[in-house]
This record gives sequence, structure tokens and C-alpha cells, in this order.
Amino acid sequence: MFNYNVKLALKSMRRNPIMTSLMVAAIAVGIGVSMTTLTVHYMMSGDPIPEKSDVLFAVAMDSWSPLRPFDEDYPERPPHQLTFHDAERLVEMAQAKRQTAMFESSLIIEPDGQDELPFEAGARVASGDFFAMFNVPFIYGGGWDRSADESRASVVVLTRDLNERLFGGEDSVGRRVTMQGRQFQVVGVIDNWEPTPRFYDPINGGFQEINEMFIPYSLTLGLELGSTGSDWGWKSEDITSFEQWLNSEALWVQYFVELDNPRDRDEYLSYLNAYVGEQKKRGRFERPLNNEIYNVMEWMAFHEVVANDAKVLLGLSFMFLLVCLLSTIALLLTKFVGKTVEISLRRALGASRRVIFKQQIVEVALIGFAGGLIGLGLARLGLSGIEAVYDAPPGLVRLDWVMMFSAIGISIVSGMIAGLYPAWRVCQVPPAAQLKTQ
Amino acid sequence: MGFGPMMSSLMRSKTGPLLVALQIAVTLAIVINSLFIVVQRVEKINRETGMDINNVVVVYVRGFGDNLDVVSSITNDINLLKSIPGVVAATVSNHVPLSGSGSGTGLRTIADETIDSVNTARYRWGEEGLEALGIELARGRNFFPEEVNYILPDDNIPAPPSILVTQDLADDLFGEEDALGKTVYWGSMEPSTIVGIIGHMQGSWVSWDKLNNVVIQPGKPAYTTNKYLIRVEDGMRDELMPIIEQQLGESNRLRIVKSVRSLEEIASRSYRRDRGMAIILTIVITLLIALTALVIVGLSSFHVAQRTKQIGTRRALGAKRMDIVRQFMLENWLITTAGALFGVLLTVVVAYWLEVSFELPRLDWRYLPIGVVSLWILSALAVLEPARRAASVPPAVATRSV
Amino acid sequence: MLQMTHIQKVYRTELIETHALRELTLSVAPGEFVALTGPSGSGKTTFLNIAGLLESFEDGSYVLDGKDVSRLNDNERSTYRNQKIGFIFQSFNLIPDLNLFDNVDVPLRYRGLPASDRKQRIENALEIVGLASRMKHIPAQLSGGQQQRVAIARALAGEPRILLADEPTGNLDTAMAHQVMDLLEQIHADGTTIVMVTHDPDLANRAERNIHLIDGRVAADELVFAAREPVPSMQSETGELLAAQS
Repeated sequence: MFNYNVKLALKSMRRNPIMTSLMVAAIAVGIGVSMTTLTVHYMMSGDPIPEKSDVLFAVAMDSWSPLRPFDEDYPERPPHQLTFHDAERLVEMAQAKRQTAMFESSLIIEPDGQDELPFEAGARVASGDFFAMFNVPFIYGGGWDRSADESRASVVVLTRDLNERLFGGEDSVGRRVTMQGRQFQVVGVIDNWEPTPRFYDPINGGFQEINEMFIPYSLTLGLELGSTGSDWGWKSEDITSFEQWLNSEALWVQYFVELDNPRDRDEYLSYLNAYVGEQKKRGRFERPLNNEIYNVMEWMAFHEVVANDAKVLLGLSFMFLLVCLLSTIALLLTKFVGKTVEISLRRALGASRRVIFKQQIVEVALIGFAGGLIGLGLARLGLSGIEAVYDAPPGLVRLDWVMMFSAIGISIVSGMIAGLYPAWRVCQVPPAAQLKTQ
Repeated sequence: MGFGPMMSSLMRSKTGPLLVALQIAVTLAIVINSLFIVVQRVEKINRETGMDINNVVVVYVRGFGDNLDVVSSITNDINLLKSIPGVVAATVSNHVPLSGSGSGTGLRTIADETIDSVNTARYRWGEEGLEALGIELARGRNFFPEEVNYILPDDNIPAPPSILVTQDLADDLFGEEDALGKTVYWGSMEPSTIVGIIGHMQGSWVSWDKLNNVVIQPGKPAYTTNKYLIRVEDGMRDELMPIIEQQLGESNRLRIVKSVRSLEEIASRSYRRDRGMAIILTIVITLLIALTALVIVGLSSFHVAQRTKQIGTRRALGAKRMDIVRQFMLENWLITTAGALFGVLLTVVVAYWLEVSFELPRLDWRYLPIGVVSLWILSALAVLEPARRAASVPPAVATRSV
Repeated sequence: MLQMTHIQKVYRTELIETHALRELTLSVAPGEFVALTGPSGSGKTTFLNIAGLLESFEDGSYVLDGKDVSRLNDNERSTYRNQKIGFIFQSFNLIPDLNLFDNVDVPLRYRGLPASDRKQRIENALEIVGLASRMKHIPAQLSGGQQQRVAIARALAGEPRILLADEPTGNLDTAMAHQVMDLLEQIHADGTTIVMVTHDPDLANRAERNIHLIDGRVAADELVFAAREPVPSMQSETGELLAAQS
């Protein structure tokens, strides 16, 4: 019976190809547009690391000026980067299960061979715990451990792309790279890792490309590594050397911890408060105690990673889908009204209302399905367009299986909803009512 | 056919027309609000920069190695650049305007830490800076060469005696008073005197509401990574960029040329969010208008086909072709206007929601009448062909027996 | 009233040429009640279309109420048709979305009459056919016979010089058919010229004169003599007495 329904539905659709194409197009465009914006929204607001997003915390401490808050618009918020030394101290004291201080910098790589010109590469300067904390996948080797941090070992973890460029993609663990005039030993190469959004550093843009390599935080002083991210200062200080810079009240280091379980957050916060209390005795942290820790989802909300623009687009595109649905209903209504003769004939031949209704629903479901398929194609195009327009790396925003099935599902359901009223209307035709010549 | 009978006829089979009216209403709400946003963004991107943005080339360089003498490296580079035919001026700068990257600071008119400072972007460049960017000095003077010295990262120099500010920054600091010759204080409470006022110039962050606040200190920054701002003669930019890159690269192997870009491209990159939004919304608007127009055409055509007997009868009773056209166009106009009325209401609601939830600017009320009129025109155009087809139904249809 | 001379009507498609009317010549005097009969394909409908200025013709001449209408353009035909002719169709052809008042109103609107004038005419016309009380109803609420009577009111409202009826009782049962025919006879008694196309000989006999068409030509043209019962008089709102004459 279902096959028969489908056959009839296809015939009916073919009978008036313009109407049918218009309906399919309406649904396809509606699905295309709303799936594009929905996917962007979903990727931006999804949990990038669901297996541990509630045990990873970003730390913020208020060491800002006593005269005014860090953020005039949100005066209760502490600044979300730390001073170099606060971060270093916290890492050394290792109170949490894992912790990392980190910032972005850049180094000059001098490749072997005279023909190759030196080039600059972006680096994330971090503690060894970083890799385990964020579940970074490795293809060769691994990260470094705390003893390497403490001994200021000159080690480096490469990304796949940089490894490709320097070593042709081979297993380069143990090989050496010359950077800033110093020899570094490769201890690991990571696979393509694009947590979307880049939650551990939303400041530098939630969708930027990930850094090309990782080196230990403890090398900062020795290499005089400057931050390529943001730095904030409130205090006018005499800074005539890099060491003085590191000792200053400038805030430019990001700090993340991993706790054993979410309930430990209060305990860790008290520990931070105790640390700050101690610093207060030395004349620092002149503002009232104001420390915060944020788990991953809270951290992303704090940074409004889902930009306003994306939310506006989402709202507008659902209204767009509504328009498409209305179009479809209007078109279906007119199409069905034109079928009253056929319907009344079928009723005269014994079809019950339910049978007719079911037939129409099958037809609109088919139209919805066709619209959904095309709509998915349009969404794919739309996402590529978004990537191009926002200069995001290609393939960053993608339609996973969940989204694809949702798209088809939404389109079939929308088609059926759109068809409900017209189908009901057409079932009301009494049998043989249209068979007289009037 | 008169207004009254048409209304009562529409009311009798209201579902179809209601749906179309509803669709028109939602479309109007989306299109007007989206168009407003697009215009806002386009205006934002096209703001006057105060610089000769099409003729400026930006070079990012980085020296390395323990023996690098940054100062002589920069001096040689600048001399080399100025020797290239077509280059008008060149300077080294701490940051690049409109790049999204820069230094911000706060200035005060009184040396008192407790009062709030005025936020501004801060650049530092030599006496050729204004020329290198094509900035006009409205009043006062530029830096003298004696005032400009190289500044290394660890130098802790005092605040410079002379600085330049933009008019907007001067207004924020001194209001109606003339700022020329006045003293301002940095975060360190050290003073500087304003010796020149720039009419208008944009700073680093295009979405910052204080974009037009800029203060300029004299000096030649000599950091690890340095930025050269180079102005070239009209129309020569694209051919000179590869020449610049090649000559700089060859002249010093201990200094990497990271990139050579045009200021126009850098600024354009800073606007990519706004441009993206404008493009996306324009596509949405176009799709919506096309869809609505197609639906009107489709539905009216269908109605014409459905009512052929009726049309023939009317013709038989004395209707002229124009009467039939007028009837369909009037009917369409009624539905469109119903949709437009509800649409205006919906537009205002959506505009309010956008303003309150996303801090977007308030909708300019003039968009509403323009939108409604455009809608009328679009709708009339869409129904023209079906109406014409209706008018060509022959009167003899009335006597046919089917 | 109506004079057709040597009318020629040809329908051409890519494949076939059909001569619907050949050398058709006939006249109808003012006040006559003429029935036009003939087998199917004889050209009855085509005659009606041409008589009603619904279609143009290839050859011959047609004078309607003293005016030569052979070469009028579309707009002129529409106007003249509106002023001079009242139509009654086999399938009533009422507009389903309009109520009775608005249905009768349709031809009056095309004449551009002021609202008060139209209102009076509509009420009169509906009064004459006996449906004034149901002015606000829509056609679907009426029986077939009632719908046809509304169509007749619509035809009358414009005070036409001639009524053209196409199988006016073709879709009605016997009782309703009688009602409608009585009405038509009444209208004829009032002085209106009526030309009625029908295939029913009984109906044809209620007219004064029968014209028989075969193959697009007049094959026979004879007067009818039949006994009639007096028709009761009807009074309209303006006080006109429609006296029955037999």
C-alpha cells in the first residue's frame, strides 16, 4: 500500500511540475538557510570537549587597580588573564589535578639546509599538563612532563602541518629543530586538532587556526618570549628589562586547571582565595577579593563566543523557514483544491477519508524529503560561503551526521505540518460532488 | 468589481489569501530589518579613514640572531624603501591602523589617578608618519626630526614633550576648548603637550566606539617585530609590492620579511565580520523577495486557471479586458496591503527585539513606508502576467458546457 | 431587433477547419419569443455566441437593435453587450463567492451606475423573481431552480433589450423547470424579446416561434400555436403592473 501511495504521489507531483518544483524549492531554500545558521550556531555553542567540560576550569583573579574595575560594563568581573608570576607560582604549587599556564608567541625557525629561508611560526607556550588536560591527539610521541617543565628543557611538540613542512611528515620524534638560535628536541607531533570553538583561548578569536607548535612555559624568560596576544596593564611601572616585564602587574597569561570532579570547584576557589590573601599581605591585589573559576561552557558564555551576529542570523533564518512553510502551505492548498475532481472520484470508488488523507500526507512528506535533500546541498554551499566570507579555515564548520539527519527530519516534518491543513481540507470533498457538470 | 463585494468574497474563502498575507507580513519584517542591518554595515565599512588607504603598503619584518643591530637594520630598510622609484614616504611604526591590533591607553587633562581617563589608540612613528599614511594635519605642526629617536624594547623613556592628537580625542579631553598647546597626562602621570591636531584619523579597532581617538608619539620603534608604513604614488601599489618584498628580502638575510600587504587589504580583513553579515543578509533578502514574488505569481496563475468560467461569465456580462485586469490587481493589492499592515507591526516588533537583545541600532522609521511602497510595486509586477492572462479569457467560455 | 444576414463562422485549428455557421440568415422582431432548436453540432451554441457578441464572425452582417455590430472591437462589444443583452446560462454561472445581491450587481457595476441606482434595480429584479428575501445568501445555499431565477434577475437588472437563454432548464428537475419557464413567459409578456436555445421540444413549444438549425443553417422556421393559461400578475416595488395577457 505504501508503494502505491508513493507511486500515486510521484504521479501527482509530475502532473504539475512547476507547482511541485516551487514547493520543493521553497522547502529547500528554507532548510538550506536555517540549517546553515543552525550549524554555525551549533558548532559555536556546542560542547567542544564534552567528556571533561565540567572539570576543566579557567581561572580569573582580580589584581586590577584599586581605583576602578577592570571592565566598566561588568564591574563585578575580574580580569581573565593573570600576571606571569602569579601563573608561574600557581603552576609550581600544583594544587589541582592538572594545570597549565599559557600564552601565544612566535619564534623564528631556522630550517636545516642553506636553501631554506628562516621563517616565523606561531607557538603556544604552555605547561606540560596541557596535552593531557585538553585530550590533544598525538600521531607520534607525546607531550613533556613536569620534570621537563621544571628543568626548562628545550623541547617542542609540532603540529602535523609544521611536521610536514620541516620533516616531510615522518616520525620526527627525537629530531632537532633550530629556533631562535637554540636547538629544540621534538618530543611529539599532534594530529589535526580543531576544537570548535577554540575554547581554551577565545580571546584571540574563537575560530582562529590553532598554533603551529607548543613549547614549555618555563622557557619564557630564557628566550624572552613576548606574547602575541593581548596584554593589559593598570599600573604605571618602570620596565627596563624583560625580567622586569615578567615581574610586573601586566596581565597576559591564561591559566586553566583540571579538577578531579566538578564538586571540587569550591575547594579550589578557597585555595585561590588563600593565595590571594597571602599576596595582599605583600601589598598586591589591592581590590576586594574577587576570584572566579569558570568551567568550559561558562567560559564560552563569558566570552560570548556565539557572537551577536550569529544569534541574529539564527533568529532571522527561522523566520525565513516560517515564510517558506507558509509558501508551501499556500501552494499546497491551491494544488489540492485543483484536485477535488480526482479526489471525489476516488471517494466515489470507495476510498475513505483516512485513505485520502494518508495519500496527501505521503505526497507532502515526499516533497519535504526532496526539499530536504536539496536543502542539505544548499546548506553545504552556505557553510562554504560562510567560511569564505569569514576567512575561516575550510572544513572548520561542517555538517555532521546529527545535523544532516536533523535537516532531513525537519524538512519532512515541516512538509507534513504544512500539508496537514490542505490535506484535511481536501478530504472534506464529498464523494462524487464534483462529478456533476456544474 | 467593487471593493465591498471583493472583500466579502475574500472573506468567504479566506485561508488562501490569509496565508499569502501572512507570508508577505513575515517577509516584510525580515527584509526591512535585514536591509537596515546591511546598510548599517556598509556605512560602517565605508567610513572615511582619514588616510590615503589605497596607496599604503605595510611590511612586517622580524630580525633574528644574537648579532642583529635592529636600529641599523631599520635605518637601512627605510633608506632602501625610499630609494625605490614610486615610493613617496616610509616610516617605522609601532602598530598598523585598522589592523585590529594595536596599543590602547588612557589620557587625562589633570594629573589625578582617581579621575577616569579618556581611552585612545596610541601610535608611535617618525616625522614621516603623517606623509606615509597620507594624513592631513588640521592645525599645529608635525614632529621635528630632532624629536624623533629610536626606541628599543627595554628603553624606559619619559613621556615625549610633543604629541599629536585627533580632533575627536581633543574634543573628548577638552570639549569646546582649543586643545592646541594644552597638556595631557599619561597613566604614569607624566605630561605631554599637544603640538598638532589631526582633523580625522581612524585607529586600530574598527568596531570600537572610540575608533577616532588617536594619539601619536614621536619615535622610531625598534622591537623584535617591526612594521613599516610605506606610501606610494597613485596606481603604482600593486606593481611595487613584489618589488618591495624582493629588494628588502635580498638586502639583509638576517632579517625576515614576514609579509608585505596593502593597508586596503588589512582594513578589509578587519571588516570581514561586518562584510560577511552584509553579504549573508543580502542573499537572504534576495531569496525571500524571489520566493514571495514566485508564490504570488504561482498562486495568482492558479486562481486565474481555477476561475476561468467565472472570468468568461463576467466578460459575457459586459466586463472589458481592463475590468478583468483591474479586478485581479485590486484583489492582489488588498491581500498585499493586509499583509503589509500586519507586516509593519511585525517589523516593529522584530526591530525592537533586535535592538533590545543584541544592542543593534534602532530602526530608521523611514524604512517602513519605503518598504511598503516597494512591496506594492513588487506585488503588482508579480501579478501583472497572471492578470493579463486572465484578461485574455474569451467571453465564449461562458457558454461552454463543461 | 436582431438581424443576421449570411453569417459565416469558421473554427480553425492546426488540423481541422470547422464551419459552424454557413450562410445563416434570420431575424427576430422586438417582443418575440423565439426558440432555437437543432441536433448537437448544428451550431446552436455558436449562434448564441455570435448573437450575444461573445465571438466575432468571418462573413456576413449582424444588426442588433438598429446598430450594425459586425465590426466592433472587443471593448465596444463588451459595452454594447452589457447594455443590450441579458444572458441566462445552462449552468447558471453564478459567482460562488458572492451573495445574491452582489451577483446581480455584477453587470451593473460594469455599466458604471451609481450605487443607489444599482441597489434599486437589484432589489427590483430579485423581487420579480421572488428571491428578494434571500439577498444575502450565497448560491450554494439555494436550489438549482432558485439559482437560475437569480441568474434571470441578473439578466433583467440591466433592462436589456433582448434575453439570450442557453438551455435555461437543462440542469433543473421538472417542477423547477416549470417555475423558470413561467417566469420567462412572464418576462416575455412584459415586452422583452427572448431567444432561447434548447433541444427539448416541449420547451420549444412554449415559445411563439421555432427556428430549427441543421449544419449551421436555418432548416425550418415556424410559428407555434398552443393554449396558454393566464399567468397571475406580479407587482414590483415601483408599482409597475405586469399584466398577464393571453
